[in-house]
Amino acid sequence: MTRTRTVARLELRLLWAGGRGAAVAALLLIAAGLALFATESEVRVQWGAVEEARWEHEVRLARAREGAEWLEFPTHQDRVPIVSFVAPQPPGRFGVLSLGQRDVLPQALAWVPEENATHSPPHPTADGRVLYGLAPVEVTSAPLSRLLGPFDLAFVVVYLLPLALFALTFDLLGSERESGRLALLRSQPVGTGALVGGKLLVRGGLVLAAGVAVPLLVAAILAAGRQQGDEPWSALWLCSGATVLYATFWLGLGAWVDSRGRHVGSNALLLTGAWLAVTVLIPAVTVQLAERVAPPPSSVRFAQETRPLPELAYHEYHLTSRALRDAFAEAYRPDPSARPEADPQRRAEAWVSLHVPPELERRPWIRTFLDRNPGWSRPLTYWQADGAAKEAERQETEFRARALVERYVATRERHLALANRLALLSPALLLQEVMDAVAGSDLGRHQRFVEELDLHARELQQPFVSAMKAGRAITPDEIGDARPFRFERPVRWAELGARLALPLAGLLAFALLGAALTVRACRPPTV
Amino acid sequence: MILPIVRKEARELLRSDMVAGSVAIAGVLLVLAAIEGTGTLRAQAVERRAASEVHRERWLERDAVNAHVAAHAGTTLYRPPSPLSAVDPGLDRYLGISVFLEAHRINPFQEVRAAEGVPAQRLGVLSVAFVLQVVVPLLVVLLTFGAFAREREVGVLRLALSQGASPGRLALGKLLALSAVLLLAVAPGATTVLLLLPQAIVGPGGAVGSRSDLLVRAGAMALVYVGYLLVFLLLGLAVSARSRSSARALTLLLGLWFFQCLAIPRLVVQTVQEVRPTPSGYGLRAAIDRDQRASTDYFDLLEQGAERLTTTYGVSTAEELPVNLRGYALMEGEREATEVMRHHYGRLHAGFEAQQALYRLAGVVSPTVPVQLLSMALAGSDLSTFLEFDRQAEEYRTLLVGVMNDHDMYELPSGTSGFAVPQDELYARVPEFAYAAPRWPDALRDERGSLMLLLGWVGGTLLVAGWSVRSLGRSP
Repeated sequence: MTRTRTVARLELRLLWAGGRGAAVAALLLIAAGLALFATESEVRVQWGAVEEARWEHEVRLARAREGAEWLEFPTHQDRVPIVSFVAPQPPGRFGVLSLGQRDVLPQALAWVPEENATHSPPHPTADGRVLYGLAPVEVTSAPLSRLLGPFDLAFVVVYLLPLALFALTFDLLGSERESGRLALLRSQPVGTGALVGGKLLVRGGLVLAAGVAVPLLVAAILAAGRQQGDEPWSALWLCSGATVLYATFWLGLGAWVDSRGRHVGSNALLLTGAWLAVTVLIPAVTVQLAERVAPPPSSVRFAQETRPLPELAYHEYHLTSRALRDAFAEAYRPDPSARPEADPQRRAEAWVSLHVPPELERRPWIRTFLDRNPGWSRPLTYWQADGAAKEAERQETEFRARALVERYVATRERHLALANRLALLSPALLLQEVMDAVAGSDLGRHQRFVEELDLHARELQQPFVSAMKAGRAITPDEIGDARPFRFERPVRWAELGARLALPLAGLLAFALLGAALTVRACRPPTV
Repeated sequence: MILPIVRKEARELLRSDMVAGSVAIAGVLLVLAAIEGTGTLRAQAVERRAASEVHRERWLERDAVNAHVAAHAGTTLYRPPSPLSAVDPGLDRYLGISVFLEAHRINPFQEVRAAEGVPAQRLGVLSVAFVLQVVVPLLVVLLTFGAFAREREVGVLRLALSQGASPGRLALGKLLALSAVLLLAVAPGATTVLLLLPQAIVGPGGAVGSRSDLLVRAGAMALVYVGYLLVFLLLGLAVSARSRSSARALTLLLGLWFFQCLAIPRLVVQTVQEVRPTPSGYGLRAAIDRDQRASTDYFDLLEQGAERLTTTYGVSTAEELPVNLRGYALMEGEREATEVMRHHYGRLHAGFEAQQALYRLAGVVSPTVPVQLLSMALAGSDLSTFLEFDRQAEEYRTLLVGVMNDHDMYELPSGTSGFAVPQDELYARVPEFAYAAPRWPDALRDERGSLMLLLGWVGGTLLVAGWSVRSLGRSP
């Protein structure tokens, strides 16, 4: 151990004096700095959007509480704040680590009137969702950036870190061997293990310090300064651990290739080939393989099959709604001195309070809905009848779409499961997965965002559901303590660990392989 | 005199297991990518065409309460894949493939493959263009780093020069030999594309595009890649000629390859987003909502219409109008909404184009940048082609909604709703959408800058290689 320390000390001095160590460390630091700067800027913009959206929604809710917003006509008024809003997805606490899928997934969702969401595939969630649906907001990141991928810390660690390790390990003993100094070194009382171990310790340590420790520390400081986000602080340790495992694999590979006794140029080529295979070719091939063996569901076919469903149901709704409106026109006699169009508030009050004729209540579309959903006060008001017809439309659409949605989801799950298994072929893919998850920029977090937003929106609508069932107008007081959506449910460490068990196990296996290769490299070399 | 050098160099290169293995790997990757690309193209073309036909049928057979409801139910258009996207899928995976057209709204493109795909795709998708842009240049590095440096190390270079071989001839011989070896790697992939592509673009449901346009695009694309690989060959020879050791030449060339092919494109595109940011998705939506809220209300449009039309037609009440007031309000509302949406989407798209123009400038430091842009443009999988489809789709939306609104205003009797003509007759007035794909001169016109940059790289590396080789004569 003492000899390893001595070798390490000397190696550090030599590496520094030669300039190579400093150059590699500087390159890594610059790359990591640029990556952090670029991603931090994106994170700030997205947080800005989140804050702005919350603020605007809060203002609209406050206006509604004061009675300044028109509340009684939710089916035809998409500006009512408890049923219509836009929510951007906040970046994770460590969003600065990796942009992941953030630039290709919609970063905001709009909760909009159902008829405006008919172009979106039907959403699988059903219970309690009244009148409205989720629609993705335009993805506005640069199209070229989506194609080329981001220059973030994940890129620096996954791509650049192995190259930096190679730059310091491809001639670990090779240059000494070629210059004949290795024989001289071996005549000294120092074993190959101590020699290789000491060199690896210094070179690996230098790269990890510049490419991992310093950037992660900066990321932690940035996260602490923001005080936002849902991931546990310990996630950063998970990320550090995964990166060390990744580096161990490459370090071992570098040492082993060097120990084979080839020309240093051949070592460099072999290592570059291995790097290209692991970071570029295997990921590319796994994508194609997963698409061939377990193809993802065809969104074209899915849209084709589901598109007519809301249309069919909407047509039925529209006929019912038309009949209601005609009857309402008969029943509602406005003050002749004020045009109904000029007095929407009074017209809306009449819509909420007047009862529909019994024959309309017996229309199949409404009757079926009331049979399925007991608890509605009778006789129905126009507002209730219209709401019941609209809800029946949604239930019908979802009922018809259920089998298609289930098939779509199952096919997608199969595809993702295979892709996850194939990721075990490349440590680069595994580390990327870990970094995306820790940064909160993966598909899983996006899905959680959609689900929680859906739940929140349904809760927000409860006053409408209750009022509609009871057949009375909603009052501003009922908005009560409704708040804008906050996607900040704390993620427990165990939850994150369980989600990342497979990639971490894979990385551990690669690290063990790297360690085994290092042990082999420590055997006495051919002089 | 050159031929023996070429033969000797090629033989030596292929004798190396590492070179032969790398050539074989690159060749296999290209063949796999070509099979995958053409297979995907055919499947996409068939699927999208079938979907378009279904939506057209659905439009014609629609049963709506009135024409405006029919315009709201709208229709969906699918972006047909261009034939050469089998070679370079470019942005296809990252921009949506379908767009839902309806009254009052411009909707975002749907069905973005990248959003539905696995994260691994962000590390690379196997395509012919990807292999040619990233993998084959690495093969060039492997082939060229020792061209002069290794011979200098073992003393063969001095010997060859002392026997009368001129540095220029030596370099030309090496260049030809290297090109021949490179051809061995590329030829199987190119042949596969040539064999499979015609099957993907003819027959029922094949990808659209005129044959002559396709041929010109394919030829130009081949030339672009020849130029690109020539740049790396010349660069490799120049570095090898000037390097004292093959290890140093290799390190330098690997560094150049990494930065030019992988790091610079990513870094620059990220920087470009900083310099020329586009609004966030929420920002865009909020801005549209704000402007739409400021638009004239439907009831106000009715009042304005009554006032304006009674004056125009010289009648005293709205009931006497020969046109339908509701139709007028819908038409005006559509005009205002379209104006707002087009303004914001126009700005977003202009932002994308400005970002691309800035990105193009990075072609000064990386030949990969202009080649990527040229390749995508020629393949028809670039931003311009996408925006052109978007423009034609929006024109079609305007036409569709316009036909419905015209019916409501001019054919429906005043004060009525419903249909003045049979529904199927009305819907058939909207012709089927016929996408006119941009022709090759349009693609090249948009990428003139990239073409100049690539030519600059070829010329520049030719000069540098010539200078480096000349210096061999002075100090071998």
